[in-house]
Amino acid sequence: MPHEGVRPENGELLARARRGDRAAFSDLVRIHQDEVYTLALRLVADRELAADVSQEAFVRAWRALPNFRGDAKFSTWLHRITVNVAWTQRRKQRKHRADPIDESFTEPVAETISPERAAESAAIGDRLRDALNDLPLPTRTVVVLKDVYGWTHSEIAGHLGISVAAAKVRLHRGRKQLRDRLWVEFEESV
Amino acid sequence: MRPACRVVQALAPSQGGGFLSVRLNAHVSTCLTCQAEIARYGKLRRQLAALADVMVAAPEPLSAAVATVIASSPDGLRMGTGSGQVGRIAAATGAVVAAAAGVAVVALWRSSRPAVR
Repeated sequence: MPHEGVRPENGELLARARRGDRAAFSDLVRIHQDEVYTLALRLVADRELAADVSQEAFVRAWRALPNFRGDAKFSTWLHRITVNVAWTQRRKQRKHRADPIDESFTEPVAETISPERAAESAAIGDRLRDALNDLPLPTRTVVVLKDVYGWTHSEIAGHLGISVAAAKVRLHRGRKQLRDRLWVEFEESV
Repeated sequence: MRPACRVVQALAPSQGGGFLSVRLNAHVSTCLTCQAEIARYGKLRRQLAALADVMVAAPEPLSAAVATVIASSPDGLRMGTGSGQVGRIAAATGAVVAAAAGVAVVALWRSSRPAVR
């Protein structure tokens, strides 16, 4: 299941937003905007497009909220919508123009994580981010959802409209490409 | 490269180190190349998992932009809300009435035709 973070779900805000309370939904947007934007950015690797994806995801969430039954956590549901929007928009954009990847975004380390995790995250550096961004979109999407957010193969397959076998193949290929990129570069530089 | 090394390196991206047969495990326990390869994938997966704790701040105008779009959209666009449901019910009723009228017209037309001998 997608990463939930430390923030508790806010049932009261959700109930009000479901009844059409726009102010309550705005509060939910403020609470969840960083995680939605981060996921979008990892998927599309472009700041502007990630902002568009996040906005569209929240608008779709607002429209579909009366049908949200609470089977999944709200943040999990939002993640799924974000993946769908990112997948659709990036494919649409690629049809129209070949955009270079946004090279300028860096991943600041969140202040709330443990020192050990913060040190590990800092140590990852730019190389992993660059290597991830260089993966083709279909491969990157599977790697991000599986290895970063912990989705299962069947969840990934269901959301991307591919078979479980195809999801596994993309994951295998993506990890291999990351390994080659990260360690071959490192060994060459030594 | 030995055949066993090739097998381990082919399997490592999907499975990590916990997948190997007894025979391949015995090979890995004596092969530094394969141990290093499995360790690389383990490290890669830990690094990717660590990204889950790293948040990128959303651009400042995001929540305001969402609020603007939502404020300008009529409630009827929401799935399952009152006006939307009324619209869907009206559309479904209209379709049923139109279909019934079509059937009646065809039946009337057939009954008014002279019988073919």
